[in-house]
Amino acid sequence: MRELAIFMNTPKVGGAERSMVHQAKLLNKENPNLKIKFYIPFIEHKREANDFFKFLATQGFEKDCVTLFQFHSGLYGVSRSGKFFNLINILIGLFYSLYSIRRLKLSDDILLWGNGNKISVLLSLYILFHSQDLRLIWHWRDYPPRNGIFHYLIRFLNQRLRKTITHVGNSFDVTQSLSDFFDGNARVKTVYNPVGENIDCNKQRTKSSFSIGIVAMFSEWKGVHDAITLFSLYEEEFRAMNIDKIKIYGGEIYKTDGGHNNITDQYKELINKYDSTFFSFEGLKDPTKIYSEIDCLFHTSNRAEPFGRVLVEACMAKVPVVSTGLGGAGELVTKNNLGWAVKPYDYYGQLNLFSTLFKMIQCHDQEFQKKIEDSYSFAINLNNKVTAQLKEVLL
Amino acid sequence: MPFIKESGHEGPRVIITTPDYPPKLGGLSTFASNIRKSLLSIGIRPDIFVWTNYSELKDLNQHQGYDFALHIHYMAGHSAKKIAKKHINFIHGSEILFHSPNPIKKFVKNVLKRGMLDYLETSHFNFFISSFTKNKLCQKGYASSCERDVVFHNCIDTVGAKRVTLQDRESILRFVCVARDVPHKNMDGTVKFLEKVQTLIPQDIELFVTAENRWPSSKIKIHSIKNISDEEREKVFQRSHYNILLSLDHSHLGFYEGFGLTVLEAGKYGIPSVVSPYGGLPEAVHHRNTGIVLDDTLSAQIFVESHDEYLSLSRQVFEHTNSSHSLIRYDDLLGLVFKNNIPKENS
Repeated sequence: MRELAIFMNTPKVGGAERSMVHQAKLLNKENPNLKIKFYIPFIEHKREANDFFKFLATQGFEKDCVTLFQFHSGLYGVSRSGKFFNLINILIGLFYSLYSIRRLKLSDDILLWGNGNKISVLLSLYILFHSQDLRLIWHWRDYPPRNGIFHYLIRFLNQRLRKTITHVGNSFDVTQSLSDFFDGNARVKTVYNPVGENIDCNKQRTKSSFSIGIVAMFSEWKGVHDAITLFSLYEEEFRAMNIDKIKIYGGEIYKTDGGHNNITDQYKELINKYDSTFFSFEGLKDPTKIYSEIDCLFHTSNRAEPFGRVLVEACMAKVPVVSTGLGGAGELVTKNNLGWAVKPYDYYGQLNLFSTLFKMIQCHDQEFQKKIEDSYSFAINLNNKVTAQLKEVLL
Repeated sequence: MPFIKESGHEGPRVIITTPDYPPKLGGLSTFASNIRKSLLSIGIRPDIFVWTNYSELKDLNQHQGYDFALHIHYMAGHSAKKIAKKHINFIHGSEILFHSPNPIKKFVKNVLKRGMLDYLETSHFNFFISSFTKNKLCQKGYASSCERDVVFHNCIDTVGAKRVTLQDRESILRFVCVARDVPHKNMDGTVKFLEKVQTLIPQDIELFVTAENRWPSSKIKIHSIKNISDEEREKVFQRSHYNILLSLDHSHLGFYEGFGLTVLEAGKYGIPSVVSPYGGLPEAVHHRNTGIVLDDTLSAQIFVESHDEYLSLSRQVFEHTNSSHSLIRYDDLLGLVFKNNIPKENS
């Protein structure tokens, strides 16, 4: 294999994209002779990828290792919105986007790595129609679809290209789901998301007031509004724990039609209805800044999370983590004992957990300190684990 | 008595509309009563409007000028939008499926569906008893909004709760199933499952059902407790090792389990529940923490767990039910919703 061609799903730099670039960096470090190229889609204008170029440069990847190609807009909107789609638009999008990939004139001895489902479907179709000598690593950034057209399409593609595709899940929980999805007839591997940067906050832990942080892209399933309900229900009790602010970090990074639209306004309106002054919207900040500003991370996803990158980042910053612990996030918090799990929508139970946790923080409880140190060790050694997992995938 | 006037004191004018109210028995009746009690506990005295059919709902329009209307069934709010400035709906389960076994009623519901969804989308708050119900409504075309739609699990009266620790688990396993014998409650599946469990464990299995015993099982003992009083039913819970509810998702026929109230009714005594992974049941039961959520990968082998594991489940379900699902949680919720409207002497 002379070249690894990493195809992105989007020109935006979200968690999945950051993880992929960090994984590429680990591969590059492990094997400097491996040529890595990034293929980034744009929808209407090449400048959509400007942020991506900037991010790649910060990770040591120069412009000459990046090639842009065009996605059809109808195809791009499908997966983000989750709405019922126009089939004709999809088919047009598929053919147009396939043509874009064909124009890249990829050689047969490169290894394709699809970072996400949409691009991996396209690459699979490309392999099916063009050259079955190509190998594809299909990197799942979510759980497999239970129904709908993609459910059947993906199973069909795997059946036809079983020897060509290796499916990679972000956690053992996702990998198990993939095995079940393909009825055991697929090559599946696990690669955790790496920690991209050292997060060294040097925070003062002896303080009189605290803040809890919620760090998430703004989307209904991230459960930020559920947390707003929790902290509003028991604002008095949380303030009595010397918590003076709930800081919400993140933004609407996927601006498309559908459920993601205007969600920030919805959060603000909910806070307004609850008549609370407990919250602040902090926008998008880099992890070092975030974890220097908060004393506890509340991870609030209300459905299974494939991994939960923010959990590991918090551990690296020695910030305690409370999580709804669904899916891959549960694998981190419960199985790997990196934090404390709460039940989704169990507002009173969540209050009790926070109450216990903040007592431990304020009393410098030894068991609490040990758990924080163990979580930190996991986080700083995670990249070694990821490198080993990546090597296994490439074999 | 369709209309009970209690307001006229300080504070906001609030009305509760409900299709059922005590002394009539039933889940919605109890729910309406609990909401009223919670409002009273925060100092708000609501009027109550009880309706039994659509024509009575038209009478509701005569009562206007309310600040808030709380609807135990959203249909009342849809019929009488003008009675209050702000509408709050409690959404339980099958009523959002717009289905009826009667084809004419089904047709009418589907014609009215868009209007009902529009009403819900312009309400002040919609409280869903499970995220499954919320997602199911979204599948019907409802545009969910984070500023309006809140998942708030069911609560029960935990007065009289006490943890029961049965000592005879080594010789016998008693299951109780409080459910009507209708297809989606899956009574046949329950009996088959327990017969399978019986082949794996040495203890004898007994099943208590609130239905006619129509299962001539030679493997397990089945007792009918049909028509027993509420008090006697509580005693049956206290004599059982597990509550079992293996309901199916029959949404396409108009039925599914919105939450599974019997899970709480059993949990009140420390009785863990065994449930199917459908509807709101996986939200009512926290797998291997407060009970067992069955799926294809779990076999009846899970009942070969140690006594210590069982005691742990029992302790956890007791603590969880009596704290997180106590009726006081409704006080917390309504206290938040009416935060700026609570009469001063009660705030």
